[in-house]
Amino acid sequence: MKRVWFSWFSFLFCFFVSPLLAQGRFPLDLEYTAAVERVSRSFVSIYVLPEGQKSLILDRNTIYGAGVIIDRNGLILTCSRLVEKSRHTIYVFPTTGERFQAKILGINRQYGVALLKVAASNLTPISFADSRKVLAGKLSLKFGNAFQTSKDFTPSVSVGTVSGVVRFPSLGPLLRTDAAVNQGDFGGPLTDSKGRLLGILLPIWVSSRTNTYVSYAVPSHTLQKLLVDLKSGYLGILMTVEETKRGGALIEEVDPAGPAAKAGILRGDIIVEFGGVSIESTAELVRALRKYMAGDRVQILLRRRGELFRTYVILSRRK
Amino acid sequence: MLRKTYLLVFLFFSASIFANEALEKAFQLAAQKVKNSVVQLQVEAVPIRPRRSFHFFRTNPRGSGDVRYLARRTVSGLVVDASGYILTDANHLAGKVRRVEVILPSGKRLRAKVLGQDLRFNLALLQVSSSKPLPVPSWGNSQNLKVGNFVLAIGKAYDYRSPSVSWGIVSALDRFSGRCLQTDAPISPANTGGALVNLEGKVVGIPVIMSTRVGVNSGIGFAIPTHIFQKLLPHLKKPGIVKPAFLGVSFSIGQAPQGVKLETVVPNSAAQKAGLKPGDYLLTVNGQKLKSGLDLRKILLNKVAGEEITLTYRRGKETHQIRLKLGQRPRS
Amino acid sequence: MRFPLVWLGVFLGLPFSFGSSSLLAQAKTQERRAILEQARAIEKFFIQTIEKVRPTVVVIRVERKIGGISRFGGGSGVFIDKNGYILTNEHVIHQASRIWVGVPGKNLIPAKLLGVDKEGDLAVLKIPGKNWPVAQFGDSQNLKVGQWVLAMGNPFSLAEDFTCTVTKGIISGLHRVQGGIKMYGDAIQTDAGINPGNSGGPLFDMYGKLIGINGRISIREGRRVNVGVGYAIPVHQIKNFIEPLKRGENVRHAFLGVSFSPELKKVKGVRIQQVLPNSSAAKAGLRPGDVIIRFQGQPIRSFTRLQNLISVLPAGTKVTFTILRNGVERKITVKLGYRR
Repeated sequence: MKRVWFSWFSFLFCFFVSPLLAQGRFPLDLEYTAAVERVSRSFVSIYVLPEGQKSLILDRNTIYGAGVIIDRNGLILTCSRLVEKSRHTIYVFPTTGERFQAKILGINRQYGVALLKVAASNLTPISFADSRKVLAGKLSLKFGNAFQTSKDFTPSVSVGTVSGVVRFPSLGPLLRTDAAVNQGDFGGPLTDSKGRLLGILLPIWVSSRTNTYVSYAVPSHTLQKLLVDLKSGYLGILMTVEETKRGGALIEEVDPAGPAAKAGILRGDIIVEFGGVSIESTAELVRALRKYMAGDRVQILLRRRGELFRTYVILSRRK
Repeated sequence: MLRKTYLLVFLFFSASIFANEALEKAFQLAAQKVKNSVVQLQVEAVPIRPRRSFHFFRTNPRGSGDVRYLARRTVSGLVVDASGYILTDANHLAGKVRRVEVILPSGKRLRAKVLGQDLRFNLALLQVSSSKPLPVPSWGNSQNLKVGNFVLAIGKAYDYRSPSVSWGIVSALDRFSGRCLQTDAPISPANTGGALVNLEGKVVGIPVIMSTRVGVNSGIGFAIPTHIFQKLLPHLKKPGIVKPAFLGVSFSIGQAPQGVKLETVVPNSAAQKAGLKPGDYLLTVNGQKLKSGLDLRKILLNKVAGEEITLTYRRGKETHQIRLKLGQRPRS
Repeated sequence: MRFPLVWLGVFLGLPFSFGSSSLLAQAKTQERRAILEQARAIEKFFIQTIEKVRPTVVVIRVERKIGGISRFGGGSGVFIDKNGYILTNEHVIHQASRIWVGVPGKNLIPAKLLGVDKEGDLAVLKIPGKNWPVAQFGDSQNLKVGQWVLAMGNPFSLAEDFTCTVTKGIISGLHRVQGGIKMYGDAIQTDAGINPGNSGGPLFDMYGKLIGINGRISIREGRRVNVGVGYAIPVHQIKNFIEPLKRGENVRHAFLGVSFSPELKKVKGVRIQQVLPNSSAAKAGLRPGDVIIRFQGQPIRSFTRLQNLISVLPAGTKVTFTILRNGVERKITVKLGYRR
């Protein structure tokens, strides 16, 4: 009985692992090079240059980092520390040799993640791994732009284990990795050995700018949640959540610096139509708003003291 | 029968298609096996001004360079005996220790007593009194380790429930005159004092900080192998600092096919009392033939004061055998 | 081929996977055994490769007399010929008054310095004796990022018995340019732990073939320890210089003598900004404004690529450029000189 089991087992073992080992080939090489190739297509180097700088001369003061493409139409995730500086131009370099200027769609300060947009339509997005299933001991790959050592915008790749999943007060879980994360790697992707996104590397809690074998990444399932907010544009109004339908969404407060104020929307107005979709309740407006990104121009139908108004608003990015 | 086979096929396929996946799962299984034996320690200590260590090989954890310790630190420890003995890195007990608490994976806190410390190996033993026996890990054979063996460094410094797991290979054996093995697993404050386990989840060593010169992030980490710290445990159970043996001779560590030539003999040392003189050639210690000065140094480093050894030496053309009791290093 | 089989397994297995619990438990232990077996197979691969090549690695000790005071330093090296030829970094033996080589099981052996490649940071030493274990040269031009590597050497002079330290890692990047006095023009970047003392030590692939000589690390702020960014001189560069070095000649690297400006605007090829007078570029008639589009038939898309290709060549190599001048393609052949 046992022998049958064993023979089956050894048969299968020979069949799957050994072809490589029997030929004297190292099985991990194939898997890792394939993963690197896959992720490289979605990897970007990010350089933040002072406005007006024409040439790409990189010096000590250049802000540089990495990011990852998550949508073929030019959505890029990175860490917010990299791009926050105002009056700077953000350049994004995929490994294909193209170069893009990026604008910020949204920033989440709690986690330190930023979403960028570039004018492209043919990028290769990375696929997401389910980071909820990650256990300590998982092997991971880090892709970054360490010390801007790569002049041709190919990533610097390191291997390490996910040494643990940590919960910090006021934050959700973060992945801790012992892969070598240095200055310039921040914002880059941490992937599993199949090249699927596990997280975005953070520069927080790093006292020095070099690797100390303890780095943190925002896990991919948190990123997916954050993305919903990061993607949606900012309107600049405050509403009370009402369960009952009142034939529109009542605006309680208007951000004086927000796009709504600029479009002439006042406190007490009721939005009845947003981008051609009729709005019955606050919840419906929130849902409708999520379909738009920062920079989108949306037509709004308002009711003010019984009269209907039509206006346009250009959504800004979330701060 | 057929059913079982199919089931096996199914499980096999779902588990181990990719070599890497099998590796990760093996790591996770190994970590599972040892995770309850690695405990978190909370140490409250008043830092004292560090003395400068003047010799590289005599790294004194209490005075080692620029590692700055906070008054309160959370570190890892390893259960070595179910009755309540916990081993850790002596560096963690630097300063004037006020209080040490052990936090078991269940969250239970136990007050620990500091027993012996050995500064050659940077190990310290703690004792707790627990109503239930503590989970002892299974011990691996650290004498059979080869360079290239996979090891995992397991620590609890960040979280007393779930361990931090780092992977590496054995980089070299017999470092620091045979005191420890070297690994490229990231040995950091997260796991020193914890456990170094092999693929089966058996403990083959305890990660320690041996030298501040190499830093904590260099791909160079050290661990005291299990067979060495097991031998030390009886000495560590006595409170206080373990007194290293002192023979009182100097010699060069190079190859010595003729025997290890003694260069100087310290007055009033065990060697002088036994009648050894400069120019003598040491041939064997406890029956073990010396091939180099390093061999002699390795043997002596593993002895404590008061142990007896048998030496054979050659003076001129005659070979002598003596038995002597090793002394203590004189204060100077 | 893999995936249809997976599905076959799933479809066949699924109806039966709700069997008795003891069966499941049994299968689970079986599965765990299979996992461990597979992990062990990979571990064995590491051990076997290491055992094969570890004897080829040596420790290098040097004495430097600076102002009458002798200072000791060291590094690592690797046997490349069974008659005792050892490859190491030039900076390891730089200004050394005496050099020794440490081999496990032996006392330090005095070594003779043969050839030196200052720009390429290479040196060849020789010790007496025959039948030394030799590291085989691999192919460093067909490496892939993500491939596993083993770095060996003697970091921080830890080896009292001259046994080397082995660290594992992957290739982090290829074709890295690390300038300076020593030009690492086509370096292999790795995250295997490389520290002071590893210099001159070999970088092996998982088959035990020598692919590079570790020579440099990126460090920023603070102490000279590895941060996971190390560079190795690739073997395809070493092969171009090794014969004269073994003969005891000092070699020079090829140098073109042009500068480029990195532009945000896209150009096909690379545009020359300046031409150094009296350089091989000037002699060949290259002018500012010319765009180099091909070198030795290979398309050039970036300045870095051109640097990669030229820096691994010895001075005196005859090469062919294809350039664009005023929209017209031209071929220029030039014998490359060296930096003066």
